[in-house]
Parts: sequence; structure tokens; C-alpha cells
Amino acid sequence: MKRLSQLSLFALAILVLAQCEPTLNERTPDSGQADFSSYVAIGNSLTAGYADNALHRDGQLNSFPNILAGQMKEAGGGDFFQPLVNPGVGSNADDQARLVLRMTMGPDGTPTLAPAPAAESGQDIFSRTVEGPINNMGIPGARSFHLLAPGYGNLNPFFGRMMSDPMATVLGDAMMAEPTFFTLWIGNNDVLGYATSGGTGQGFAEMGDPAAVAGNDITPMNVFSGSIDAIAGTLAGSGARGAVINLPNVTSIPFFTTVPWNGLVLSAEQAQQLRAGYAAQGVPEQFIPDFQPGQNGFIIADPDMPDAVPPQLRFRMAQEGELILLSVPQNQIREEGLGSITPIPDQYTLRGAQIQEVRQATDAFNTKLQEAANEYNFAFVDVNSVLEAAKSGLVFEGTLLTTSFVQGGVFSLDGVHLTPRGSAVVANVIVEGINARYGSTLSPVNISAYDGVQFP
Amino acid sequence: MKKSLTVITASLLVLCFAASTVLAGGYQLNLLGQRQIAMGHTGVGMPLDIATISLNPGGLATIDHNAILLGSSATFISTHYRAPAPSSYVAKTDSPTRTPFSIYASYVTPVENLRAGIGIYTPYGNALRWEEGWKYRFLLSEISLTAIFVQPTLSYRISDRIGVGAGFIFAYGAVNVQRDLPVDAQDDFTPMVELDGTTTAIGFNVGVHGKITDQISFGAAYRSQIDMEISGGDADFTVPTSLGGTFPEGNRFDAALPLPAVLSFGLGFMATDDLRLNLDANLTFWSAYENLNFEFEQNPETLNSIGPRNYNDRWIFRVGGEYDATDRLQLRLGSYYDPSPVDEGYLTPETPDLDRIGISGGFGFAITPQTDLNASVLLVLSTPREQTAQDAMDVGTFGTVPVGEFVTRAWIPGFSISHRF
Repeated sequence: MKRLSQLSLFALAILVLAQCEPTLNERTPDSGQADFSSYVAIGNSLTAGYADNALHRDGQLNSFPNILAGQMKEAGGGDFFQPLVNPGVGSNADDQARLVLRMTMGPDGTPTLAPAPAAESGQDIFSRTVEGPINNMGIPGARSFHLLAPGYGNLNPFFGRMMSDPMATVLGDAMMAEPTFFTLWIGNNDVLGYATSGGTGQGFAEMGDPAAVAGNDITPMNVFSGSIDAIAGTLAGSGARGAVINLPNVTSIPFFTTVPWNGLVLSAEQAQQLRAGYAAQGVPEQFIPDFQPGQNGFIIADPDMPDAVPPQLRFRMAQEGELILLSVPQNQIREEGLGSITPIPDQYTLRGAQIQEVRQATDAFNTKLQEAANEYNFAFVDVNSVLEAAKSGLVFEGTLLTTSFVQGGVFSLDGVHLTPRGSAVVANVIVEGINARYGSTLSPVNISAYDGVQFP
Repeated sequence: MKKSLTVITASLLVLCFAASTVLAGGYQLNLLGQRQIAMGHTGVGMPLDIATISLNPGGLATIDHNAILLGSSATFISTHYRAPAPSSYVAKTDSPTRTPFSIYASYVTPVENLRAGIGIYTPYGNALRWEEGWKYRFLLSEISLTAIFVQPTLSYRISDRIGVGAGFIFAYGAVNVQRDLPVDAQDDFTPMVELDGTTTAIGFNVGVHGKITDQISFGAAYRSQIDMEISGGDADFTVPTSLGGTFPEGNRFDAALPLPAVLSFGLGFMATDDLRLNLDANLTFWSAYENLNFEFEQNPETLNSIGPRNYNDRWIFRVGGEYDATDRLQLRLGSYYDPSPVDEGYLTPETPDLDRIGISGGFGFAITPQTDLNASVLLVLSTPREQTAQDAMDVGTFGTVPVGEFVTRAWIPGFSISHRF
């Protein structure tokens, strides 16, 4: 009996040990000097979760502010109310549905994958209005000064569906949620309006009038600066803390980098035929592009050529560094000789001087955003340099993310807005910035938990 | 005796809070005999029973009866992962319980001093399944590795004091690896790949056993490396239709995994008439495991992968004892120290390897004079191990290995039955 009790004691010890848990305890995030109890995200389409060329519910649910709010919740964050649209294909301001990847048969019978609208027209997302206070004040299309413009909801249906009053401002409505913490990512459209329309509007200017700024212009510096000062000042005045996010260079965005400048590949015979074709149309010898076998720059329109050049001859080969936009009708390139027989119109290209305008504006705006963050002691989040690094690829959790179109996983099918995975990357960069500035320990999210582009 | 058990119990509990629990070096399973497991998996220097066929074929010569021995363990292994600070993310494995087994039979041949035997055992194996959707699902979601060795053996007693033995090994191996693919589908499924293959290979196991005095015996054994080379295994991709070109249907793969050689030494002491003690050391030649590469038949440019492993040779040190509590009941205890063969930077989700301390116990009970029942319990303990991004960058594996902390808990009960005739 004594031996039996010894044995059972021994067995008991073994059993107790077997139940003992490993010691890797979950960490509890802390808010540090920040207070996440009321987080309000202020910005444009990137903040709204706009993706695939439309505002749709999936995109909203995976917006970077919604991801961020989920992480803040672990550190005392409150509920994050988004102005969600009904489930469906979503819509943009032109009543178009979101893009999805579709398999189509090319002329030679080979299947190709290309973005196509998910439905013939967009879903009605504007007739149902949303009552505030709203935590996600991301307004697709908004520029810096729009956030301060009374009655902006009458011009922009994305704000119209959620404004508190016909004369409300975006910033005013954001303040109704009494933010203790904010993210401000604004200024993208102040540059992109010009860049995505191929530089057809007014370039970078020091001075200008907000009322005179057209959709394809770069916002003048004084207008941008004044707007940022007013927004940051209002937020700081309310006692809120937050993070200011900077603007990516267009060269990180697949809308501008997917179609190569020298994507015109010719055989010797084709090159010869093209030269002959131009000559037959009476184009003087010195204006005939120098088509060669192999890769050639696309033929692009260049309205800025000297006055001495007759308007019908203002075209040339694109040069290295110039950008062909994703909006270019690519079937016309393949089938109708666009970019070879006929020049690609100016609205689909960014030429050298136009790229300089965009770069100058982006740099100036980013400097201003950093100054504002410094002045009010907000966190400053350098998304620009992260996307710059992602051009050559960033490795997360066993997968390579790049800024390339479709395959890269970061940018959605419109080439400008983020996929859920891209939003997760941005959310993590912001988490890092907030933690560094406020001594908080917000947890980053797992990138692998979020989808990139979905394939059929 | 009671006092020492209380001390052991208390120290086990202290260990429980001081450290956490884990299993086996690399993908080696040292579960070759229940009597040996209970004694810290010792027995190279002292042939306790016919499990010596696998531990040290030279010891079989000392066994003067025909016998059969059937045994099995059950592995309860749980691995936890924690992402680097400040992440609040943790993940666990939900690994299936495996039952590594051993079957031995021996025969006293009509030839004087010659014994014959056969062993069927599972010296290597791995079964690990991470929770669904875990952080590193693109690296691995599930792995199963099985190796079964069949070893016919002859052992000869050269003199009263020295015996030698040799066995031929026929090995069967099966591997199944599953991981998610970093692409996403419009339809509601998770793109993934399952690699599945089997193979056979051969090797040998040799050993020598001798008595230095009546109280002290020794043994040495060497089991050769066996390369599991899978050729034309099934690579089954579950992907969106539009990605069928990148991930072709009916694809096949080649891969090779070494099952390293093991050199073992052991000393046995007959301390008193009813107390036996063993000291063993095993050197596993893990340096044979340099890479785990997958080569695909179709679309190799995109799909082939090279996984540097660069394991190191490692010694395991073991101690164990057996005490005759009554004529029919034996109590056993043992322990071992099993340092990891894997350097930081090479920890992978399939073998998040750590330095381990094993603690084992068990008993043997004579049901009849010919028939014994043996039971063992093995606990494997370790402290959490961290692999940083810098570790991975230093050795060039960043992006192909997880970053964070791992800890494993293992609890392995087992039993066997033996019969002599």
C-alpha cells in the first residue's frame, strides 16, 4: 500500500506538470500619453476605404482607420462608427461599380486578366444618408481646403450623404465626434487631380485662390498651407492628439508606373513600316520618330513644343522617366496603333516638365505637413518613404509585397487606392508612428490576415 | 524513497513555473523503448530488453531468451508562438496526436552465441498543425513527417564479455506539407498548396556491448544516415482558375530530407542488487541537414524554393535509473539534456526548435514470470526561444522564416508489453 501511494504521488506530479502552460503570455497594449477613446479619421478616399474605383462596403470595412481603430480598442479605444454603404458593388461619383479582375479572351484567343466593372452601373450609395457623429470622415475627392469649405456636401455627394447640415464643413462634422485622437491624411488630391489628368491643368503655384482651383490643377501652396494650418490648429485647440500622414510620390503609385514608357516593341519590318507610314502622311523627315527594332518609346502628344512647330506635328517619342497613365486605352494601343501610328493624347501621359511640377508640389506639401505635425507635437507618419521602399519589395510574414499593379498586393485595381492588405501595411506604419510619438504600445496587425487583389 | 519522490514532485512543479515544456531535437523522436524512455532514454551501455535491437544491436547477444516486445507512445505536443513586441498576437498549434511505435522480436538461434532479431520502429517524425489563419500561414500551415525503419539484426557474443551486432535498415518515409499561398480568390476559399510524397531508402545500425567488471558495462552504437529522397511527389494547388498557369494542376515535386546518423555511447552500473544506473550520450549528425529544397516539374522558375537549414551536430546527454521496488515492480526515473541543433535565423514553423530538458518516469510490472507490462511518461521542458528579424537578416533567411518567440510543451505517455519464451 505504501508503495502504491508513492507511485500515485509520482503519477500526480507528472500529471500536474503535463497541465502546465507554456509561458508566452499575450501582451496588453497600452495607450501611453495618447487617449484613443474617441478616434476620428480625417481625410480623403484613402481614409474612406475607397478602393477598386468605388466606395464599397468591403473597402470601408478594410479601411486603414477601421483597422487602426480595432488595434486602438485593445488600448482603451472606443467604438469606431463608419458611414457604411449597403453590401454590394459600390459606386463612384460617376455611378460606376467597383472594378474586379475578369478573365477575357484576347483577339488571338489567349485568356487575359483585366479589371472590369463588377456591374453595369454603380449601386445607389448616395440616397441613404448617415447620421453622425461619424468617426471615419474620409471624403473621396476631398482636397485640403475642401475640409474647411461650408456647404461642401452640396458639391461632393460622398460628404452629402453624411453631412450634419447643408452648410456643414467636413472638419466641423469631424469635431462633433469630439476626437481625443485623430489621423489626418489630406493633400493627395491636391496633387493627384493634376497628375491623374495627365498634367493638363495648372501646375504648382505659390499663390492662388481656392475658388479658382479646377479639378485638374495642383492646389496652390498658399491655399494648401493655410488649410493645413487651420485644420491642425483646430484639432490642437480641441486638445486632441493625433498623427499627420504624408503624401506618396506618384512614382510609387501603379496608376503611373504600370504602362512602361518604352512598351512599343517592334520588329525591323514594323519599324520600317511605321517610318514609311509617317512619311506617306507628309510628315517631314526630321519629325518622323526614330523607330528601331526592339523597344521604343511610345509616341506621345507634346502640346508644349515651341510655337514654331505646327500643331499637327507636336508629337514625339516618350523618353525614359516619362510616365504613361493606367487610364490610357490599352486596347487601342494593342489594336489601333495608339502610341505608334497615332500619338497618345496628353491626358494619358506625364511628361518630364509635368512630373517636375508634381514632384515639387508633393515635396512642398510634405514639408508643410511635417512642419504642422512638429508645431503641434503630433506624430508624423512617413508613408511616402515606406511606399518608396515597397517599389523594390517589402517582405511581410513570408510574402513579398510590391507597388506593382495587381500582383503587388498593395494597390487595388484602380492603381491609386489600397487593397485591404495595403491598408494593413499603412495601418502598421501609423501604429509605429503613434507608438514612437506617444509612448503607446499599440499592436500592429498581421498583414497575412488581409487580402490583396482577388483573382477569379 | 517517499521523501525523494516528494522532492522530485516539488522540483517538477518549480520547473513548471520556471520554464515551459517542449519535444525532441529537430525532428528526431527518441522513443525507441518504454523501459528506456522511463530511464531518460538510456540503455546503450546496458541491454535492458530487446529494444536494444535499435539502441545498440551489440547488446542483443546478451539476451538469452526468445522475446517479443510491442510498445507505443502518444505525443501531446503544443507549440505557442508570440509575435515581437509590441504585437499582442499569439498563436498556438493544434497538432494531431501521433503514436510512434516500436515492435521487436528476438530469437536465440541454434548457432552458439548468435542471436537474431527484428525491430520495426519510428526514430524520426513530426506532426504539427498551426491554428487556422495564423500569421505565417504562407510559410507553413501543417506538416506531417513519418519514418518507419524495419531492421533485421544479427548479434554475436565474441566472448563472455563482448558482443557485437549489426542490422540492415529498410526505411519507409512519408511527408505531407501544407501551406497557404499569398494570393487571394474572389470565391470563398483560401488558396493553398499540399505537397505529398513517399519514398524508401536503406541504411544500417551496428553496435558493440561489453562488460568491464561484473558491475560495469559499456556500449557503443552507430546508426547510419538515411536520405529520404522524394521524387515525383504530388503538388496539389488549390488556386483561382485564372492562376492555373502559375500553379499548374497535376504538378509534381522533388525534395530530399536527411534522417541523420546517430553515434551513441553508454555506461551501465549495477549499483546494488536492486538498483541499476545508466549514463548515455548520443551524437546526432544534424549537419547533414543543410537545405530543404523543393523542385517542381512544371513552372520551376516561379515555384522552386531553397530553404537553408544549416543544422549543427549535437550531443544529447542522458541519465537514468531503475529500482526494484518488489520482485514484480520496478520504478524508473531519468532525465536528459538535448541542445537544439538549430541556430537562430534558421528556426522554421515546422521545427521551432529549442534546447530541451527531458524528465521521465515509469514502471515495469511482471504480470506473469514471462510477461511484463511497462509504462512511461516523458515530459520535455524548455524556456521560450526568440528569433529576431536581425537573426534572420544575419544569415540571409529574412522573409522565409518566422520572427518572434516560440515555446513547446510535450507530454508523452506510453506503454509496452513484452513476452519471453
